[in-house]
Amino acid sequence: MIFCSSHFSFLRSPSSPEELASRAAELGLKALCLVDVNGVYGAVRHQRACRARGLKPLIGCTVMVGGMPTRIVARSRSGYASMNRLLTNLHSLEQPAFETAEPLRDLEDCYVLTVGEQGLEIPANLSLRRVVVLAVLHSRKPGQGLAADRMVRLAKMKSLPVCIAPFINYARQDEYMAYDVMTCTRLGITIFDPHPERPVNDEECLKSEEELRSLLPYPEAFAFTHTMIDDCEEFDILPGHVTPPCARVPDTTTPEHLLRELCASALVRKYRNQQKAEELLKHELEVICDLKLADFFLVVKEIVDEARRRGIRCSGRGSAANSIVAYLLDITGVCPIRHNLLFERFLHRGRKGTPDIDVDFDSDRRHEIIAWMEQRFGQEQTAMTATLIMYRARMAVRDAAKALGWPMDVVNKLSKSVPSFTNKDIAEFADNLREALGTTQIGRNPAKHTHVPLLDVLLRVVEKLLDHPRHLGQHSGGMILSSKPLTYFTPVQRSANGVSVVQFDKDDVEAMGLVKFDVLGLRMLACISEALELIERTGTDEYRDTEAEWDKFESLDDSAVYELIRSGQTLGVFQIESQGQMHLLAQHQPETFDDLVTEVALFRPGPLQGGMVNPYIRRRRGQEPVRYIHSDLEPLLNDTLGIVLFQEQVLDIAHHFAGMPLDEADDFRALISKNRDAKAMEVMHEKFVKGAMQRGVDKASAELVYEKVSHFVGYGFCRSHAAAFAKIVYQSAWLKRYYPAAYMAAFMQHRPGMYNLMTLEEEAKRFGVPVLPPDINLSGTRYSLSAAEHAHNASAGKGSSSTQRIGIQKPLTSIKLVTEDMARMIVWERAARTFESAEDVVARLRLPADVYDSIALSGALDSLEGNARRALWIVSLLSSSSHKLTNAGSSAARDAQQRLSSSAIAESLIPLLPPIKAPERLAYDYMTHGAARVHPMALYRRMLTDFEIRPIEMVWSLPALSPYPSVPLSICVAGIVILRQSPPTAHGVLFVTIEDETGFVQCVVQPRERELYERELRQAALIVKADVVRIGSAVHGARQGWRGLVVREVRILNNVIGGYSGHLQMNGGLDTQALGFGDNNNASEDHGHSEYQREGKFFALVQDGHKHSE
Amino acid sequence: MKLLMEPIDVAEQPAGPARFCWRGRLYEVERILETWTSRTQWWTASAAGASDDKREYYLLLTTHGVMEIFYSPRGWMLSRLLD
Repeated sequence: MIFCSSHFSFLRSPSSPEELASRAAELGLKALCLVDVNGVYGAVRHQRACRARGLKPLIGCTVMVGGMPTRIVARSRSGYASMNRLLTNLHSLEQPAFETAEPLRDLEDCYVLTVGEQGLEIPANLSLRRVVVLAVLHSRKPGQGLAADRMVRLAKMKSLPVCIAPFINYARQDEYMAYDVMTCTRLGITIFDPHPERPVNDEECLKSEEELRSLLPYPEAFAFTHTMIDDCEEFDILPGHVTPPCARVPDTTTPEHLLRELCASALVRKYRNQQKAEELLKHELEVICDLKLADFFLVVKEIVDEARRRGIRCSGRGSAANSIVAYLLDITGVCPIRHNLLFERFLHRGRKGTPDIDVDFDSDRRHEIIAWMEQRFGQEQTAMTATLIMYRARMAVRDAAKALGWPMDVVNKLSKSVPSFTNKDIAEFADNLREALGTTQIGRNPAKHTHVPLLDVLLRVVEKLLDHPRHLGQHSGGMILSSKPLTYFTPVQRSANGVSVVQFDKDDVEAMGLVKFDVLGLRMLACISEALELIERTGTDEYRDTEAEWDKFESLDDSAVYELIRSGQTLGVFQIESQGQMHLLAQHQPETFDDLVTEVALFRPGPLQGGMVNPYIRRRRGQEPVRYIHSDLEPLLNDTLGIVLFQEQVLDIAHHFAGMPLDEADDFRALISKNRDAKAMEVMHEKFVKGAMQRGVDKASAELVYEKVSHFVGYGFCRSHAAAFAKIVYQSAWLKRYYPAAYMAAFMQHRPGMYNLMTLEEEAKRFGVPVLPPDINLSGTRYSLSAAEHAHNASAGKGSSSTQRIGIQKPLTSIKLVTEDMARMIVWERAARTFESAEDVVARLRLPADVYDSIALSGALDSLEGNARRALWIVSLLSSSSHKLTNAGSSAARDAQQRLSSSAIAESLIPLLPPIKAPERLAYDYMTHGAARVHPMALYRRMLTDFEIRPIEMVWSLPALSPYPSVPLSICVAGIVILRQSPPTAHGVLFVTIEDETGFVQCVVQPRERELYERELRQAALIVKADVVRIGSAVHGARQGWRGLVVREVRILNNVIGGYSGHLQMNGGLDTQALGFGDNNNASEDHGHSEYQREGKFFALVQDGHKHSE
Repeated sequence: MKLLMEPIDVAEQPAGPARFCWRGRLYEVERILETWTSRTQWWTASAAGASDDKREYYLLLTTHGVMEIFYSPRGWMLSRLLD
């Protein structure tokens, strides 16, 4: 028997369980024991790999006891569970290591292999069948031979058995290099740094028994090792059946019966016993009960019901929406009959493991439902699934380059020169890496006598690292629910954020028969929930008829909503807010809910890369006839006009057209989607064509259909998932159409989209919704609605043009430096009595001085002091004095502070201050709450007009045709860059979206222009001369359809009007890639606050804009 | 203990070195006390795997004391004399 670590020891081995098992079989070994460090992460794959190669798989682990590595081997299934409990205890420690052997006392039915004398301290208890073994190790390191001799002598003295247990960390000798690099990465050192944990030779590889016998002349140890192998039971952690959690079922009935009852009553309610529904339900229930999944469905229903009971919005997604049972139990909200959904994509008798039921929950309240699940199913029976973070190209280059000793700036360059993920051989990126290295590639190798450039070494190392796990992560939502304590299956450890996580990923969890339920957080659901709450809370005229309109929200057929979607005003609408989607909407022109389902599915890598989008659009718009490659495909593809758009259709074609059984057809679908295994694809190709021909299809047609289907590569939606998402698309569009204020407020609160706050505020204004700056007496801790004085011309949205409109009140938390705790403190204090002045604010709150400054500059004290400059002056005076006094620390000082805080500030201390000018206001807004009340481009408009630079809205009002047919319609516009995208599917084209005070437009930069204007395109604000591309027509100048600009020339806006450093991004930082401002920082000196001087770049814009506007 | 790193000529048997010549004097190996290997500069090896950093060490009891020698692709070396 050989004890080995696999790559599941994370950075302690470069060999997978499969590689180890293959090598062990080659060497003629009979058993292999996996002893990964601190876990059994690789147990499932190890057991499979060994069985496939005729080896006896034994499962163990390595833990540190008293500073020495100690190996534990499970003798039986109960020993495995006992070992899992020990590992769970180990991971509950601050450092995963035992100081003494005492915790091992609780082990049952395990072998404990020790390499030092500390093992003798473990109290042997033969009734528990625990055996203490002195392991003899030999990896041909200096001193090990002598140590082995000592160990054997010691064992004889103590009458303990000895076994052969060398440390094996990789399968083959040539993996030593990767092992050393992994060790260096783990230790944070380079290969040129000595460290006791680094290997000294390449001998920690698998060896044959003969070779080991030649190294270790201890026949009695070999004999005992064989006894151990025979003594260990070959237990199974892959049971081949599911262990579902126990549903709450009354004693008088069974889970199957209860499930049938619930479905039957819902069938009457939802379908009025429609025959087709009855038949479908009967079929599904048979499959579910045969697979013993009734408990599983009841448990999911229980969770969803509990969420609804608590008012937590949730929505089933994924393939579960293909099931009428899930629909009847209210787990999903999409009718599978109405949308022609295929149950077999979700579940069939040939399916191995449990089906996936994914439910999205309001992201704000997801933790509540997780906490309830832990309480309902038991802490010991619930935990999250793990995720293996694998080495991909970029991460492998980064780790390898660091270990090879390049400085960090070079490491950054190297890692950025390769894609984060690629199917290509890493050697294909050698030129990129060479270019990133420049002249440093050769001659930096400090080893003497070398003729091997370090770049070649890097490539070799990266090749070895790829696709091995680097570390363990936590699945985004996969919660395991078990009827037994989880330690029966797996150790449980705590993630960095305190969540219980098992040691297996979702595939292994499924193989072990555990049931996983995906509790996913969706910010859009939180946004919709909050918008609805805001609507219900706001009792103004605009919101009076909510109740009456509620049905429309659910009906999915309001023509005004589709009108909004067709118009492309979908910024902030779920899934269809990107520029690419807006472009597609203009072409597709969705009119029904089915169109929305298609719209969502079309904009995916599968259909995009498969070239299915344009043919579908042309057919949908009647511009080309609907054709089928073979008449057999017509019933399968007629509702998508002969185009393969959904995963179910791939499965359908494989099943009906190529005659594959359903489980094989599902494997075919999964393989096509992943497109990673060329060999397996070729096997499937042959099977597909052969199967089709057996059904009477000619070879040419079969090949052609395979070719079309195989284009469905990359990620594509299943129809049920698209339908579930399309419902959220409709509902978010409905809210934006009828309640833009509530919707945009909720959207700003949860930020489920891709645009920055400034663009969101501009969009709200375009929908007639004023956005009110934070106010110390009005703002809360969240975005809320408030009556606004100023009227705006609504381009859409409901309501009159009265001067009293509902506006969005920005919260206190939107102010820079104001934390949620501070905001709560302010609201709490205000609840006692409103603030009357800036002095009152400082006197009653205990906040840091810079927070007062930020509050004053944001305009939150304007309602008290008239303007921000005066407010800033007052809070600065009071807070700096109190700061000094607080620092003085004495009681006298504190008294003085009290007096100052309570006394009225003398007016004489406040000089006559000039009013705040618009550019200053804009700058303060940007700095303190992320978006200005006036768009920066508005300040330049007069000057831009002089240069014949037009507002972006004019792109929509240009005539349909150029007056000169040979000359394309062109325009010159300027704006701030709000998005830059260059998807791999665009073949080098860059999409830059620019925005001014009138709207935004996407600029298409062809590769030639991209190269020509590379420097300009990196700037935060641009002027572009471009040809106009139009889809759809404008109605009375209103924004309709899609307009894009094909860029011909680019200039940097700074070069014409001054500097601009870019606006704040939602994730922090400024939305700019390169900063090229002037040195005009002087404006910040006006108020003398050094913090704002540091951000003075922004004032360049303000000052210059101000000068020009004057 | 003395660190040397000097080339030596070695006569071998299947089990290892039998005798060697250092600075013109012959040393008989009475017993091989221990063997081990080292490989610490793998990055100097070419892609084909030819490595000159791999060493096979022998700790020997000789007629003149305990000595440590090693073999690498560059030949035999005496690395240490042990007291």
